[in-house]
Amino acid sequence: METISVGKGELGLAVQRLLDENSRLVTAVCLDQEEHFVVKYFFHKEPDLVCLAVKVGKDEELPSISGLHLNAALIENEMKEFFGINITGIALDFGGRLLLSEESPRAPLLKKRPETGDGGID
Amino acid sequence: MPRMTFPFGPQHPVLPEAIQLKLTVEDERVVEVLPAIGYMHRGIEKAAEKNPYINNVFLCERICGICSFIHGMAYCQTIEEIMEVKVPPRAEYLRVIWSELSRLHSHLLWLGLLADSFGFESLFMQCWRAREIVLDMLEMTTGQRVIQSTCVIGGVRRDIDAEQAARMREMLKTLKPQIDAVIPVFKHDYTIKSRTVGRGVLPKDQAWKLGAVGPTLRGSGGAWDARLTGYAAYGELGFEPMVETDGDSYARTQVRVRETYQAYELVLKALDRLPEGETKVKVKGFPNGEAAIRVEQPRGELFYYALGDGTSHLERLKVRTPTFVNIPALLTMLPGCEIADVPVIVLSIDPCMSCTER
Repeated sequence: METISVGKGELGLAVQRLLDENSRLVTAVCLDQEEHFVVKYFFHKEPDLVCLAVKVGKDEELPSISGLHLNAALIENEMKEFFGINITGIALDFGGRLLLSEESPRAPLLKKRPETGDGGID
Repeated sequence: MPRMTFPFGPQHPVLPEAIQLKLTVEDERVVEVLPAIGYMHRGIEKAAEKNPYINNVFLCERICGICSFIHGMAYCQTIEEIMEVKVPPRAEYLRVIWSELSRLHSHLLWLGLLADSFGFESLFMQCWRAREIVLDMLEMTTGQRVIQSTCVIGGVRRDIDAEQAARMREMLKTLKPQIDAVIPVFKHDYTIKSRTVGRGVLPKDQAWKLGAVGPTLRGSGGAWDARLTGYAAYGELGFEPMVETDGDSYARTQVRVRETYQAYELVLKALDRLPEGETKVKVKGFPNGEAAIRVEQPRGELFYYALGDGTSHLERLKVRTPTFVNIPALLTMLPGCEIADVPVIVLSIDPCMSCTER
């Protein structure tokens, strides 16, 4: 599997290039690496997978790719809810209520959860 | 008639899955759909980080009751790739046999549900009666009907001996006429055709662009099937994907009908070619590195990603199931259809919310 590291600013272009080559988004995986997140977008490019890896600071914004590939919308909502990653401009934004409810813990997949005190059970 | 928005689900007689679709309709015709999921999320990815990696096989198997074996196998394959474990050929063939038995019973279950959605109770019962034979085969060979717990990292924990193989061939012989009896109804019956032909059409280019997988993609002419990657023993069994081109609910039904026969043939072929030898290798150490793999569930491509840091626990496990990526395709199929067709179109992607929400 080929892995290509791209910056946040180049993500849209890199995704568009893959889509132009008739690739399709399989999924994206968010990794919590203490100081920052790494988001890996896996594309099906016949017959293998290609991975675009983007490093994002925990206080930074990550532009959504759902405008280019609608299928990314649910995937990005899930990452946003489970990691608290600030993905902006999602075509169909569930506002943190795709899979979690009001009583759910916030950002449950973070390695160290912030003590926000904004509700939620542990 | 003014616009009206109302919920379809999360409980609906035709769909034993907790999904809600907020339907906006005008004159009995759907104009907009918004999904609401999250009724049964179980936090399995988080639990997988807290478990020793070796125990996660049993956790992943519990993601879904229908394709539990395939979930367990996908997890094992991911860890085997990280740890560079070579699985014995006999285990690879046994994995194909149990995977295809899972597909066979899943498709028969789905055909039964489709019949039930039209009110064809007798047909529904005939499909499920045939499925019982497949469950009996799973029970005979693995000891379990639903959660098989047979796949392990490095191979499989059970074997199929000559006596069991002979018994399986007899059971498959009994199964064949039962499938043959029900399949023509799904192909030729007037009511089934009138409720599925031209309903919920998904064109090929949209199916691909929206990331659809499995019979949802293949019913629209997309010839992708993860078994083409040749994992387990599929590369040696001459596998070809089943493709239909009309992109409607009928085409998706016909893909499953053809895959039912194909799964039947693959089980027989794998039994005939089952190589001698060990069924598992011993695995030592801890996974250090990452791997992403894809396998084909009855509902479509299943994706597993694991990242290990050389300890007994995984840093991250990600599971992306077929229904999760078929939902955007479903949202494209529904606008324009009549309210009465919504249940059958939703059913046509064979949704599994237990998988989707993990």
